[in-house]
Amino acid sequence: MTQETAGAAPAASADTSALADIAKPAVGRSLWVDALRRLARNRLALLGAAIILAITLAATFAPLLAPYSYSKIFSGHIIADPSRSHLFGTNLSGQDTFSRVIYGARNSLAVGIFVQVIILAIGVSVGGAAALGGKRADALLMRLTDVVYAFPDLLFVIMLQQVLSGTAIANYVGGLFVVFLAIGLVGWVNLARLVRGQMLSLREQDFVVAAEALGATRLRIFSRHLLPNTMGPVIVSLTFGVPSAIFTEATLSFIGIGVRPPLADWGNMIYDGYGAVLATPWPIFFPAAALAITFLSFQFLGDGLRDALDPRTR
Amino acid sequence: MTGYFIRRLLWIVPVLWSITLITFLLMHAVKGGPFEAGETKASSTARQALKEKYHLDEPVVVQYGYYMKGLLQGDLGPDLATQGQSVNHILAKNWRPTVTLGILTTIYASVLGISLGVLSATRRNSFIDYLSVGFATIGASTPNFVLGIMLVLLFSVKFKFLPAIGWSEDWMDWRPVVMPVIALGSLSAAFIARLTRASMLEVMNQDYIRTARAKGLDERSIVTRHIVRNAMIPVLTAIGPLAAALVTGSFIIEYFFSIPGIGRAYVQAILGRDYPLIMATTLVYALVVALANLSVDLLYAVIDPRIKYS
Repeated sequence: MTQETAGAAPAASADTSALADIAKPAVGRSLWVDALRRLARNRLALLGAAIILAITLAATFAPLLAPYSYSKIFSGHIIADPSRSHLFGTNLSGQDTFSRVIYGARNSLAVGIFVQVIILAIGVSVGGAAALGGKRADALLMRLTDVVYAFPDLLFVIMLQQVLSGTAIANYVGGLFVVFLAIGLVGWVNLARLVRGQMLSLREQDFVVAAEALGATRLRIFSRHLLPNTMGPVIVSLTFGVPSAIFTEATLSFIGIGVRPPLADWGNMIYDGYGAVLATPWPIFFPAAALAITFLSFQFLGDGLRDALDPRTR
Repeated sequence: MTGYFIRRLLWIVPVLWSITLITFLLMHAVKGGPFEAGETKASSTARQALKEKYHLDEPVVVQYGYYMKGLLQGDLGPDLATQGQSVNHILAKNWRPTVTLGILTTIYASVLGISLGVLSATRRNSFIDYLSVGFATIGASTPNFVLGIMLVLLFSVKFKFLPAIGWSEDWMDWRPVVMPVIALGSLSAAFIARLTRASMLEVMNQDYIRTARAKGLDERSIVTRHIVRNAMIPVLTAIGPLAAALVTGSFIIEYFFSIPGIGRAYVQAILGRDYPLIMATTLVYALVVALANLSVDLLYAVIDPRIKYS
């Protein structure tokens, strides 16, 4: 925390010196290498990245790491407290919470990442097309984003799930695919606006005007100047989007619409634990902590990336 | 500029119209209907009669026509679940808790968020700063239903101080409101606090603040007149999306705390395939989000004279 507070501090007047840096010819050090170097100096961001790596490994090797299967029932241990045989205790059905938390990481990460893939694809296409496709396309696409924006997203998710239930799509990835699709289909609006705004302002910048004056083709301007300079904010936005998609999925599972028991999911584990909350808080505590830690890690990484990719905020 | 906002206001109409279309098509793409066998105990002739009564046996396009005709006259249709009550009636019955919750939560989130942000920015690296950054970090990383559970455990189970669920029609009875508001608003409060702090710190480094100090202005008016006012501009832009988050969040929170509001009615509507009610609640929410967004833009122009819409 100290790191972050110290980091977010003095900056504004660095504008001019940053410009001076840009003006120098870059010798073999690209924007990305620079950004990576800045990121590596940010301890909170590194911590976030390390935790994300650990969670990813846990999710990948869940069958090896989890002491038991996520659905195995220990009938003698109903809502047992944490102990040596059940590190995180057991739930109302007598299933091992530690194993379920590890397996639950699979759903959460899968949702977090796949949703961002969908958002990236739609958001960049719509935003880019709006910025570069001329006035009419811009107006049309922005009106489209208005509609999607005003569509209550949780409601859309629920409806799409109902529509697709019973079809083949509903069974992809154990029912999770519908969740990806639904959250992604309503989640791209902010990214599209970001990309459009970024590209519109870049087009007016001197270096792009100069490139145009030098006779660069439109494709070259797009691929060499507009796209790379848009990628920074896009990556930051996607990083922040991961935990928010994970939250949405957990919420859906909490109200019984997403992943259902016996499959392990942090959201449905919290719901499940709520049934026994008067007896013991442990079945809720561990999945909730897992959610919070995952959220914070992505948040820290996102903060770090933002500062690293946009030197002006430092 | 007035022209711009009138155009924006008018633009909400086609947006809502598109939403009726999407919602209608999605709803009818769901297999089964409100009067299919298994959904209701009525006999097959009775089900057929009900379907005919509500035009459910006709093509979707025709049904949509009927619906839009009613909608234009302000009739949101019959409530299929209760039969006999109109959706207008259901909304009229349920709007109060939702609106109360929405307003109180917005006040809670913005007052708490802005105060924490201002406090921690003006007392940087002090105990208060760490405390509020800590709150903002933890608040932002706790989903609202988890927070709800924690509050219930603390205030209802342990201290037996607040009712765990329910709502009171009595305006003076504040106790059922407390936990839903905190559960719903804390995430936004945390977000606003972070944003306010960052924005304040940036403004504090501007030349005009140094000028104000050099002029000998007292610290208090520098903070209130110069820093806070300018720092609020980026914070305001974030309130639009937050309003949307509150709207969707209220749906979970009403469900969780058993509050008889529109959000809970929506869950029941979806589960019972209650087409007109689904449609109406979706429209209401979309309207709220669109209006919230528009008022933020309007406010934005009022606060920052550099912004001109055309």
